[in-house]
Amino acid sequence: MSSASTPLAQPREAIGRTARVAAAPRLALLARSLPIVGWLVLAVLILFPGMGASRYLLYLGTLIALQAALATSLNLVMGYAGQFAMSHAAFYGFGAYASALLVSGAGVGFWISIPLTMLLAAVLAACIGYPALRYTGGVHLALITFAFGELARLLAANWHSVTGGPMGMRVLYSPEPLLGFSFATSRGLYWLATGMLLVSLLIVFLVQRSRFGRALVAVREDEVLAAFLGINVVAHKLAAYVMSSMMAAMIGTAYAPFMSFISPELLNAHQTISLIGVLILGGIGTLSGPIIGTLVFFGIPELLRVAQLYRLVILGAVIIVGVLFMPQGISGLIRQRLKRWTRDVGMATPEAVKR
Amino acid sequence: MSILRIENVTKQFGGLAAVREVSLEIRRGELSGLIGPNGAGKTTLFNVVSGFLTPSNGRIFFDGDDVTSLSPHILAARGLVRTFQGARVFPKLTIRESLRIASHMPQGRGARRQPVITDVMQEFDFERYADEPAGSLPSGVMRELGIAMAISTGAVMLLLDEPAAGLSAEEVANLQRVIRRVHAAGVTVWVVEHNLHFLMGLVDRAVVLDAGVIIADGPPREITQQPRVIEAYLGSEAHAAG
Repeated sequence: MSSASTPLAQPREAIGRTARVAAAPRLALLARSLPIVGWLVLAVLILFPGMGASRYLLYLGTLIALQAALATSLNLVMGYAGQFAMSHAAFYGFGAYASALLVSGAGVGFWISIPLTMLLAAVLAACIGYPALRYTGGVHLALITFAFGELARLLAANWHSVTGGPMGMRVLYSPEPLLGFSFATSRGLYWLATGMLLVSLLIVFLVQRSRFGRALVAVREDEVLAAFLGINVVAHKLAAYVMSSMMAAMIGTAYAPFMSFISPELLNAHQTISLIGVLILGGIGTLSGPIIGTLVFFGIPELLRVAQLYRLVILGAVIIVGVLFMPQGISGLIRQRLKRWTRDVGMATPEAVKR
Repeated sequence: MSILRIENVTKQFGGLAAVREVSLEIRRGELSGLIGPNGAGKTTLFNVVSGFLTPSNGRIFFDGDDVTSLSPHILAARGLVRTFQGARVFPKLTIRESLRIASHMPQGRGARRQPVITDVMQEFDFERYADEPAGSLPSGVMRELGIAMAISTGAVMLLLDEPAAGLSAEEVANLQRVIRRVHAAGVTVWVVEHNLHFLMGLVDRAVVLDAGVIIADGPPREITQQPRVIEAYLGSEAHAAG
């Protein structure tokens, strides 16, 4: 009867180990399914205001979708290519003004104004980006793009006959119906904004998986080494900057009919700085980072009904805490955890079999 | 036939000529070395050849074409790839990611060249480190990764800049094995090295540079007997004593 007593004699340590090994596959499953869970959560978040009847939720949803799309597009040049571009808000504002002028001034259709605006933004970005990106280090780009942004803002504020000056410009049109779907309502504009968010996400998703995207990461990590591996560093940096600026202009075209009012404040550099804050908070160089960052940065204060005035104070505090405790952002922290869990499983199973 | 031809190359930094009217040819498939005391101009010559610096004078031909002053990425696309003194890798990226970046360069752009070693990961025995960030690797493995990345770009000729500096004896032996394997696969290799012992057992030919001028060129055993080389390395007193 000695065999019956063996399980009881099993050392406590071993039991603990088996329990840990049993828990590990569950964590690994969670880790593996998290991207899918993430996409599902995003889908629910997107569908919720769209299906609901609350005008406030639609307004907030549109605002957050536009901000998340902007952060996603800035992430392409900052997070992947590692270039410090300070002109993102300027291109966003440029998109809003250019599209509004094309539609109400030149009588172009709204949908036609989007590619035209993006084309103009691309030419502009290439002209600014090329001289600034020829040097390594990033200070040139930050300075030149900052100067360009301020110049664009001053131009918008002082060219009264075209932009309406510092008082801003009223936008009285709404996008024409497309494929039988009306964009004139606030719900229609919400779908326009989320559509732009999804397009931006898709672009970054595809870039991340492409040869071009991997070359951008190489440029971000070490420009000299990247060049000696055959990567045309200047061309890659420029392509990322132009793409990112074109996306900002595209998102700007949706802003004008949504707010029915645009002002030079849209181009202010502190808008870019808060986008950078969003990226750092959410996780720079990750797909989910910009969205998580936007939700935290714009969503929480709005939901807490904290006045606009305190948002930057909260942002400051959150960024300090974030940088101190999770230098890779929320998304980076989650990814790190997941990696540890999957690795634990990978190590625990063969070990357990051996023993 | 020569794969690399350097003709009267001079590189001047202000009043100082780091490399003076150097002419030499590297044959296809050769495993050769470039040696010389500190400050002899070895790295400058490499920088000029690899497109990092433009020569003040003279021309460089690679594979029959004049490649003087072409950018590093164009030279790399043509198959002339260099590594850096010590180990220059992407510290935050894993071996897998680094090799993936490097191996995607030769495809698509004009010249379609496959790397001479197709499965670099296996050939270099990287499997067990594959998902570690390159910055945390042992320094010997880091040097090998640098060479592996260069190979993955589809390099025809490798310029290795002091690959053995600061390695332990065992790591040096490993590195020599890796270099021989790469050479056996058909890559022309030119190694800059300060350490004579590392090169002696490795290369068939050594070029000796001193004060920017070539003072000897030949099989390593022979050139180390030459008084000028001994003098350059040990100083004239040692020569007088010896």
